[in-house]
Amino acid sequence: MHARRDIEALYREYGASVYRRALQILGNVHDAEEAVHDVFTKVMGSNETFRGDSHVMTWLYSATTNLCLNRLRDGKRRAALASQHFGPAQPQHDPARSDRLAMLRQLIARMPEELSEVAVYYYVDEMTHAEIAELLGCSRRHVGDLLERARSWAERGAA
Amino acid sequence: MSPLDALQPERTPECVSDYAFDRWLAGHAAADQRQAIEQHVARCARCSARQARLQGEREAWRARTVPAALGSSSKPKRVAVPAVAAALALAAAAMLIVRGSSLAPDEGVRSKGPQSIGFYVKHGDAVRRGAHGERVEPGDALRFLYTSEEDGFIAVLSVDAAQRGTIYFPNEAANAAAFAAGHDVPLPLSTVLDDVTGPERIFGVFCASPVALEPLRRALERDPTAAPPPGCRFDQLLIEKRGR
Repeated sequence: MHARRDIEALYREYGASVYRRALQILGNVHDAEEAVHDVFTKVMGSNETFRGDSHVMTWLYSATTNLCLNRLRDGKRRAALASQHFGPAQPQHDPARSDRLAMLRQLIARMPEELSEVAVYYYVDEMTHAEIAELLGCSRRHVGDLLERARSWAERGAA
Repeated sequence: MSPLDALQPERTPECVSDYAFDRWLAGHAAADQRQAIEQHVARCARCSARQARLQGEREAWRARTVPAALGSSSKPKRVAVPAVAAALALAAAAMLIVRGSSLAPDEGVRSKGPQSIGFYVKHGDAVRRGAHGERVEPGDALRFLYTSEEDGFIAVLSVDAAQRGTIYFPNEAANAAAFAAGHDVPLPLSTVLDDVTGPERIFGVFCASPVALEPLRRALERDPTAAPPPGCRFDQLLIEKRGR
């Protein structure tokens, strides 16, 4: 368990990153605020010992990702996401980033868990394979395999 | 072809990821990584702008008050969002379209210029084109369209019956979004209406520059008849959300 003072320091130092990523993954400010609260509450209850090194950033990235993915998989939220695109077709051009993120949210809400985390890191965070491998604690080759599986899953799911 | 093929990262392989920026800004990057980032940022406009934005968000966040509920099991109660973050908001909130008797006499006629907004309503599985004065219900979703003869910057804001101002579009951005001229071009996100009922003013904001949206939201919240910012014009719709 961490003292409130420690949590406040972590919140000030890393809260902006957690909030930005939660907003990108979830797509709305109120869910993102709740995610920030939940992530730092989770820190409070964890037995992790953060020494102010890069481990805390890695831990927060992973915790935020998993927490947001769980929220996306929530049934009610999925229903809301399903209605994000209707009306006339979008003009045929490279979709804006916000549009692409909305599409991605719908996909990863249904994606198998082992693929959705790597999909968030690559498509939302736009990390390199090496950075994802560092976060997941696996090889770059395995990251490439997971991304290919995610791509195949989305192709089958879209058919 | 996989739908993910359309979602390839925008940055080039040489560009700096947000993860790398986060580590750098927090002082976690190793000396060689720090040097590589600094050299790249110095010659890359995209990464220079991204670094400035992340640094600004980080400073705004550090200035905010730590919520008292932090570390407790109770959820935050609509914590005041820092200016940078608040402007990123697209409300998942309420909205609906008004018609008839709820409108004041001067609200029944909509002025229409060379730039206008419209919308579609999704009610259950049915989708219909909405109009000024449309009535909608909680749970319906709205998707906005715009028509403009020239390129510019656009936002969609609203002020509901409780005088609450909301930025509906763009999502995750502090400023109005660039758009290309076109007729009935759909904006890329829609809004699912909450259960707050009553008339709501919708403002299509067309500007010559990417105006900051949070000051505009606050201004409209204070006075929904406020004039548009310099270089901007409004196209207004009135909607009313009514309970089922």
